[in-house]
Amino acid sequence: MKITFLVYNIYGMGGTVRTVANIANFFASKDYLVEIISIRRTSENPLFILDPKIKLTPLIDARRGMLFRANTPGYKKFLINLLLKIPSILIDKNEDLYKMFNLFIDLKLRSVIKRINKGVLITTIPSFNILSVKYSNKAVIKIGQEHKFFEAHPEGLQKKIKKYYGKLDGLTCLTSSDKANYEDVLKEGQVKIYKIENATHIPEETAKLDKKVIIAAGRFSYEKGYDLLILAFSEVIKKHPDWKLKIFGTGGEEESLRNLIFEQKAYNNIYLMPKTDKIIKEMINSSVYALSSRSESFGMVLIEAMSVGVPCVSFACTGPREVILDHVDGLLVEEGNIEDFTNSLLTLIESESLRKEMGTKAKENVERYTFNIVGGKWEELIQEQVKQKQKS
Amino acid sequence: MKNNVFLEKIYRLKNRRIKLILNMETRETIDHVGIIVGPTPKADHSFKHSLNSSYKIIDNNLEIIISYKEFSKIPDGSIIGLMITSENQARYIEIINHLKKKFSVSFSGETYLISEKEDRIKVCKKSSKGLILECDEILSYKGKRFELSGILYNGSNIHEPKINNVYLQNEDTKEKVFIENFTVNYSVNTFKISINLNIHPLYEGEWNLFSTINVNNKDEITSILFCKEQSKLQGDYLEYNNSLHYYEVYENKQSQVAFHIVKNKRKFISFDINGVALERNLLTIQGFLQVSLISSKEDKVTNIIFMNRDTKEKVNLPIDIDNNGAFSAKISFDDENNLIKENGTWDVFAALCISGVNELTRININSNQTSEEFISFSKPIYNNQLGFIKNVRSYKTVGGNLALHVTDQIVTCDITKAELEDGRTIVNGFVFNGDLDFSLKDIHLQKINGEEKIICKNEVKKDNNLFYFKTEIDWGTINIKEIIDSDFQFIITIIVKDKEYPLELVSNFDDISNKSRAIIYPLLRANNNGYPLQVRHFYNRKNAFLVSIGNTLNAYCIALRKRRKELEFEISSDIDQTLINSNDVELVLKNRNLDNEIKLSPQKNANNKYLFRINESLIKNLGLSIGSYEIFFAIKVNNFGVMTRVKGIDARIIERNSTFKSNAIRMNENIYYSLLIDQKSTSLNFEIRELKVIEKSGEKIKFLLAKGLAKMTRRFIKKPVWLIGENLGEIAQDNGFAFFQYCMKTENSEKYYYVSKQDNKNAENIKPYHANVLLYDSFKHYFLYWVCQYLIVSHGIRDTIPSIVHNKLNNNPKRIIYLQHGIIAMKKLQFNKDSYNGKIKKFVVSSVHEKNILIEKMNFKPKQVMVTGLSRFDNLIDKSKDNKIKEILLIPTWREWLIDSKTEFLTSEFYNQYIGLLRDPHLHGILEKYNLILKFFPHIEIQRKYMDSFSSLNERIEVVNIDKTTVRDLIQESSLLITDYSSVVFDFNYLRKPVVFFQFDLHDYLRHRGSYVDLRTDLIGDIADTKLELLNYISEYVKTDFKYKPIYNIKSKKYYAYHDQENSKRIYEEIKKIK
Repeated sequence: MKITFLVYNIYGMGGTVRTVANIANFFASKDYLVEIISIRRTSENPLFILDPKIKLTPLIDARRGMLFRANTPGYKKFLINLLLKIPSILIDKNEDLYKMFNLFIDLKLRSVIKRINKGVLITTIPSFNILSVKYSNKAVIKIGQEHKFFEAHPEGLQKKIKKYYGKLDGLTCLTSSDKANYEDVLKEGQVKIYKIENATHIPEETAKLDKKVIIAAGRFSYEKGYDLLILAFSEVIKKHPDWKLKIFGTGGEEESLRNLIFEQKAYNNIYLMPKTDKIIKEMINSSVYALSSRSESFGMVLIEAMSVGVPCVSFACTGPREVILDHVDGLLVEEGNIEDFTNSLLTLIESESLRKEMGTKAKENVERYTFNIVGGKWEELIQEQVKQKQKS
Repeated sequence: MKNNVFLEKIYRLKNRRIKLILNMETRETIDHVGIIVGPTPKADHSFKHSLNSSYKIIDNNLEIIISYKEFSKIPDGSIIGLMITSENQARYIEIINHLKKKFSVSFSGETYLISEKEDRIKVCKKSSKGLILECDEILSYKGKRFELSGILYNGSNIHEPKINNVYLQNEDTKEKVFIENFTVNYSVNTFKISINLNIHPLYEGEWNLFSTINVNNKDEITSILFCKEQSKLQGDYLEYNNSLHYYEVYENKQSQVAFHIVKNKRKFISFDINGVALERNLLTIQGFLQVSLISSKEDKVTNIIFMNRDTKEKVNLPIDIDNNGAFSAKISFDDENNLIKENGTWDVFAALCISGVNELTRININSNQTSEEFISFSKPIYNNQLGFIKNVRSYKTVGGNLALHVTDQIVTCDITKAELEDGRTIVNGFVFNGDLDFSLKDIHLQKINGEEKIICKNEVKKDNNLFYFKTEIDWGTINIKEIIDSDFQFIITIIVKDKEYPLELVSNFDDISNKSRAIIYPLLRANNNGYPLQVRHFYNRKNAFLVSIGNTLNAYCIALRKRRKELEFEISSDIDQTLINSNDVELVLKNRNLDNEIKLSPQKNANNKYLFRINESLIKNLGLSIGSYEIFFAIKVNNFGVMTRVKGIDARIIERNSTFKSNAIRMNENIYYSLLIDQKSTSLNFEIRELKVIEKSGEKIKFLLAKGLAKMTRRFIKKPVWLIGENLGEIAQDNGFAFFQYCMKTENSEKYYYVSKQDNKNAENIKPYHANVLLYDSFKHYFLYWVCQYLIVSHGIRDTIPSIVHNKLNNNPKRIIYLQHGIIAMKKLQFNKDSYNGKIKKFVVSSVHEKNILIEKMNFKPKQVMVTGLSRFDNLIDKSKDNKIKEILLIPTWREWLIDSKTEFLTSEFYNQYIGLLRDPHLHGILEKYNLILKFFPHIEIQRKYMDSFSSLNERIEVVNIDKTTVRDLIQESSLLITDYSSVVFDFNYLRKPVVFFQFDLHDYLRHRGSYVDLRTDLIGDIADTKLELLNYISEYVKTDFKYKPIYNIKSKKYYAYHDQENSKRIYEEIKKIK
């Protein structure tokens, strides 16, 4: 059985990439043929270790000077450069990554989807899910992944989702509420909806929780709410000037976050750290994980922090609500309430025993996101879909 | 079983044995095979004699081995047969002769012969004609002595032979070593030879033992034969190439007695280390060691040695060993002779003295019992007399050996808080080191690469081994004169035993290994008596804490327009975050090579924007010459001149104006001026210069035209075109030109072109070939570039390709043959197989050794490398022999780490050693006495900058001017070369002329450059560490009339595979082999 993933950039970092890498590795270990089609290639090798049996197919090489081969003829370069400047027509304009697409990618994308003629195609963003329905072969089992609840999508996209998602074979959601949400929206379609959480490994190491360090990680974007975190932590410092906050990431907001830190005079305590591929190691050396996102569909990073026994403080968005058991293995804070966020951080900072208690619970409770459980769900899904396909 | 057995082959083996290979077909199981000799080949009852032999059956082959001793029992004219026992039945089997040529063997005065013409195996025996010396007893003694004795067999027609002499001769160099100590007893025909290799040390290669014998009034050279049963015998140990070797006597292929030296590969010591500790400046290593094979009482472990892995510096530790092998070695760093000065890794060895030779063995701690905690520490060492402090960490290497790591990281420090407000810096933190009894004196700022200091106000409080500090700088009150526009570093001074040690303040307490991008501080503004000071605090990548001092003035180029005859640009500026609107502003243009600053006033000032124009007449008025100018914006603030570099701020403006070409305006003939913003630094620059080839608009069209033309006409060009060149087409004297000359002279299957610039330094050389000389960047060059089959280059691909593609090396479509410009050995290079788009088809090297360097160190594929020798070697001719006044050539290598400042150069060891040598009266004496000239040829950089420092030397010392002669002439003309690490030696040595290496700074060289070969043992000349040693070598060579020492013929083998003036031919043939 062949399983093909379509992702934006398997060479990048972040939750989605890690999740795909984890599932792909899981399937490869079960002797499925796995191929990952990545729109872009941004480095020599993926940052997350992939099973060598997995085939990687990047569509364009976005590394500096790698787009063309040395002997690509001039007219071709001209043509490609032209196509690269024309905005995409296949990808929905509301997609976060819309600006990163163009006509050249569209052409490549369309032909690569059309070429898949058997097995399972797993797509990771709404536009890909739609393209999968539009262009892929009938024999292919089409599985879409959905990370947001329906109403979180802009209206234009909502229409398309309603129109096309019904024709998928399967759609996976991360949380129960998302599942219910889509079952309601797509009740007319033939699509079967599953709830499958993102899976993680549980590392053997556990954080000692004795370092006066709080960490956060993810793109420096508005959605991640680091401005809120900086404000909340600036209050913490006033009581506990020896505590530090490390925020790992990169992104367009860096400058304004930096200025906010300066404004708050918190530059001795809050560090904007370059993104790292050793985030688990950093988590082990911290005492609290802070998730300040304005919205978070799942919160892979919470599961990772919890997997090394680090208690989390998080705004109660959809994802975190399902991951964290409030006051048992972490603390949930009313969305956008900075003062509560500060207080929750203080609660954990001021009680090492509470941190340890919650940390231990956290490590136990994320057991449900291990491969034993999540991988099993995926295998069930595949088997069920194969049977379905054979019937029809 | 068939009765027929065939003798296929017969030959001599080592250890005085003969091997017969027989072919037989049988399905029976054979229990035994024996050799039977007798007068007839039949199984009759005539007298038969059986010989002791051994046998082996492999498939249908029967191999029988007989010793000489048994073989000698065969009576003359006997026939050899087999006695085969099978199923308890012994049968005689005949052997049928299938030999293809006759076999003969001589020993002990007899010759045995088996002819291929007989049907059976008939052995004929005769007395040997010539004289034979057989050595049947060899004994080895301590003191590098061998005692040989044997028998002298007179041949049939020899009367009263007399042994004149006995000598060892080196197979490769033909050098003879005569052995004085031999005796012959002619009455019983025995001889004895005593060889003392202490008197005659041997070098590598096979040394065969010969004797000159007077026979019938004629001298004959006879080999002395090896007639012992075991084929080799180990002799005493010796030191060779700085490592332990031993002599060995053995039987060579001609059965002759031969000697050679063998590198010792055995490990004589095993270790069980149970403690490595550093307490109060005293380092101790303890454990057990066991030495296997000790041949005399003098052989013992003498000391422990620390050796720096890069520079090879050594430090010795005395060792105490008791009878059980328990040892301890101690070193006190209070003694200034023991210092471990160099940072980096130091390996630990035990030195075993065997026969007076020190053999180093790395101390291994692989033993299971040794727990890592007993050997691992990280502590400081210091020496108060020298004011020296280092941190030493001991650890176990990947290979399981003990090693030390030495750094400057003495104390652990944390910067807990930096308060940057009100024009003041206040830094809070703490410092500690649990293993060092120290106190914190103060913290100050020290200018990077400078002397200036900024004193800080310090408060220090000690609490539980931790020194908490608070250090304060009030930027408003300090004198800014010496500090503006420079970087300062925080220095912490600690006191250890009344001695002060300044250390870098490095924030290394937490787990952030690189704070330079993680911890960013806001800019601090301060009003220093009206001057708008701005201080930036930052960490470098090693977490050292620094400040950069500047001003708060910003100036941005917000518009840049190219008009028909002038450039127009607008600048907006702010200070202390308020826009400037003053009439007292100007632009300042600075050229790095000129001292004066050129000032320019704005044309207009409106809406806080300043408009400037530059045109031809302004350039003339200002007296601007060709060059590049940095542009600054200057204003007056409270009577201070404040200046800042003009920058681009809008990404689009920067991108549009990032090249010279984007705004270039022609001034006269081919001089242009332009404004450009450097994309990396975003700084605005003004430049006046000629257009580069690639900037000329017509040039690209010309190049494309050539490409088109080449495409169209390619099929009509019958012969492939080869472009050959060297050193950017500026010279014609190296491998490129030598290869070109060879092709022009000898080959005709291709068209050869030598690519040369107009002003070639060796214009004379290329004159005869003017029809095949290609002018660099001419249309013909473009055309032939597109047409050519190979680019054959000496220094790099730019030697042959047009300038227009110089910045597109990675797209180079043409196949490259790399002729090289020297031998890769003594200098490490930055080069690999993927250089030039992976188009290097063949890379010329001179030896297999060099090929291995390319494969192992630079990842070349074996097929990319050809062992042919350098082209220019073919043309080297030794002209020194005819010189009446002999010349000595002195060429030091360039050391780029000695650059820039003249004072630094004049105080360098390099200058002092060389000037000391050149001014040495003893040297002058030698030159005078033997009527010699010394030609001193310093590197071109030294010639350019510091030549006057080498003036007023002796009249017999000539400083060579590079413009008047070539290195090649110097090599050919001189009789002796003195250098340090220059690859000129390979050309010089090729002519078999002596070289002396003057290596007073080997450790420095290794640290800065590194080498692929061992600069102590692999070199092709004598090595002098001091001036005195060098002068001794010089007088030695002068006295032998510059005789080349034969040992260097052997050492040269590593560097040259050929010595036949056919290098170019081989290169040509290798190129032709490429498909």
